[in-house]
Amino acid sequence: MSELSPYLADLPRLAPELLLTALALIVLVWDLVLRGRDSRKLGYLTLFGLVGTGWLLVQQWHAPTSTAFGMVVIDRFGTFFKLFTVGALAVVTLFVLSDRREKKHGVGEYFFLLIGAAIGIFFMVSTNNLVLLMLGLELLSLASYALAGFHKGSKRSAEAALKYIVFGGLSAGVMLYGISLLYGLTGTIDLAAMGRNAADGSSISLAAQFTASPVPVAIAVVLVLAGFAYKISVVPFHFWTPDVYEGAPTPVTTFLAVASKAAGFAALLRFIGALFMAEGVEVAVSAYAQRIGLLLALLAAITMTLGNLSALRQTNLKRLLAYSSIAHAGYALMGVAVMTSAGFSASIFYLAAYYLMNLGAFGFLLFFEGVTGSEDVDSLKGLGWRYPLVSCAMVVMLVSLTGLPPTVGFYGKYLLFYESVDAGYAWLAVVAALNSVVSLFYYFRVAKALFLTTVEDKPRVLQPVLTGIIAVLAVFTIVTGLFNRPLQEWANAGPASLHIPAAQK
Amino acid sequence: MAETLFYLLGALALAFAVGVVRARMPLFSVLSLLGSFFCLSGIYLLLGFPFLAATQLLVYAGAIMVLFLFVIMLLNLGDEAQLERHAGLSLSGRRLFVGGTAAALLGIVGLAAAQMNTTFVAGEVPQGRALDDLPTLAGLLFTRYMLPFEAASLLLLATMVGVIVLAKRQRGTSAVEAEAEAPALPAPPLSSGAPR
Repeated sequence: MSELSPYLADLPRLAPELLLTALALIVLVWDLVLRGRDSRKLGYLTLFGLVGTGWLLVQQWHAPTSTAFGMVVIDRFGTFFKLFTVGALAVVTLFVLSDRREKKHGVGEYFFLLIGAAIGIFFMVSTNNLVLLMLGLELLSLASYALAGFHKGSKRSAEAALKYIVFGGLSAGVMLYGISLLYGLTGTIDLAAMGRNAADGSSISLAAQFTASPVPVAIAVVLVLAGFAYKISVVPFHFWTPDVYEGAPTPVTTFLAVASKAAGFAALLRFIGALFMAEGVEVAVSAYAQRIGLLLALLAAITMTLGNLSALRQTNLKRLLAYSSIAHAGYALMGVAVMTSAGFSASIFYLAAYYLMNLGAFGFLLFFEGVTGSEDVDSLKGLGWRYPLVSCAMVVMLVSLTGLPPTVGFYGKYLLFYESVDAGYAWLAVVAALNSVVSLFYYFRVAKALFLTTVEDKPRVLQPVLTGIIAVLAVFTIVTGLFNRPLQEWANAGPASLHIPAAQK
Repeated sequence: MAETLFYLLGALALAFAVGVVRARMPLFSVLSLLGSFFCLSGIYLLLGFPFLAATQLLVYAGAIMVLFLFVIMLLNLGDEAQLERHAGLSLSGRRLFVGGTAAALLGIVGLAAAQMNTTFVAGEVPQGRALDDLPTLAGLLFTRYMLPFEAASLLLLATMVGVIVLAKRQRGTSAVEAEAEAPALPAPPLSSGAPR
């Protein structure tokens, strides 16, 4: 007991995680009691629990950085992503509750799996310990596999789940292999400890190993990066994305596109930050970090180009948004590739913008599925005049996704472009700018279908909750675009809490 | 002696692993996997980890393999050639692709292993105690590694719920719908049950 007590004292710091776990278990048991009769109650309970978690997280934002169990780092970087995860999950829960096509299914386990995935994200974004990182990632992945296949009657949903499992299992294996190599090389599974030589000789820094034997280090890092690349659907590992996004139920797609992807990015930022850029990391690494940066920059360029060009051909709105999310992963990767503290801030800011606009875009998709029962861009025709509020909100999202002022998407892209040019990646900024022009074509095909066609008079289908969410998100997209100071300061807190010195250029 | 045994067991484990993918009958695949697990537990023994070796045998070779065998017997999976008409690429083409990828990966791994410089001290073991000492292992698992341990239990719970969600028949589905969902059923539970 005496050995355990110092660890038990850390438990209050894990309050948000514990609350979410309790919530997940209550939802699971309550679902058994309800016998699938009234699953909506579970949704309301989930929302209630999420509000509580959000409140706890806000408390942690103001508390100083601390560590629990020697492996969970509670800092502003992690809390930022946790807060966004909670927000995204709340919106997804509302989506599930207002999904007109969902009502016929018993959706009890749906909420359990969503909360489980969120707990996985919580561990992923706030740990330096590679074992816990892997467990969090797998918790997120396994819950997502089941969620993707939730519509069992539909063949596409089953296909989505199967593809996701096969790709996910493979890339998790690759990543685990990379981690085992890193452990073998350094003798520790803690990222912060890998950065420097331990005083007692219990571990060797990656820098020392890099000078001694560069090839194994390169292989290990690239294998781990491959695992992250799968999670954020960067190009050689993106094949699952369109099929899974299309086949999964739309609220699940929203969760995968927004929360899961941002979590992958957060873990990637922490990994690279702790290993190559934190204070006290030896100088030998920084030259190596530049090479990793160049690799990431190439991947970013290829990813955004391929995502945008493939999106051009899509007629299905869900697939179009899937390819668009691949392209956006490319943009957000720019900030990681430049390997500066300001680049990281830009990436974090862009991810926040990405949350807002994609939640809105997928909300619109859900709304529109509820109206027409189809996902084709063509069947959008004339809907703009019948549902002016939602459609105008969608146009705002599209403007933001393209990256035009006065939206948050514009400012996010501006920061990314500025930081890439500043770090000497001018070519990357040019590629990204050209890509934004390409994306204009397919985003505005949607806007054109909405407004530039004749009105066909049919009775309106009212979906007040969805309309409200989409409108609020649109307002947020514009307001945070115009008044971006607070969000930018929050994003800047990220690299600071990763101990990345600001002056490093 | 130990080194020879290690290479022998490693080569055998690899050969069995190739057998898992090469075998046409699912039953032989499972038996090859069993062989691979046995070799792996032998390697654990060589590394001075009798507990891990025993657990490997009990859990993987014992419980999980029996479950695999049950599923294969129940579903009556025969020669996998019957499944091949759906595939786009020809059989030899796929074999070439998969074999090539696997060989390339193996080459990379070999390259890494050959150049690896492993002169570190295992930092996780408390001073003066060996990790194969069971109380030490248990102590670490329930103090320093309590959080990953509990996270793993949560992971298993979520997996279990997920598998049941995918596998259970919908309440009140008609026979036609049940028919439609039938092809999707065997795969997800099988894959989720795979050791990871």
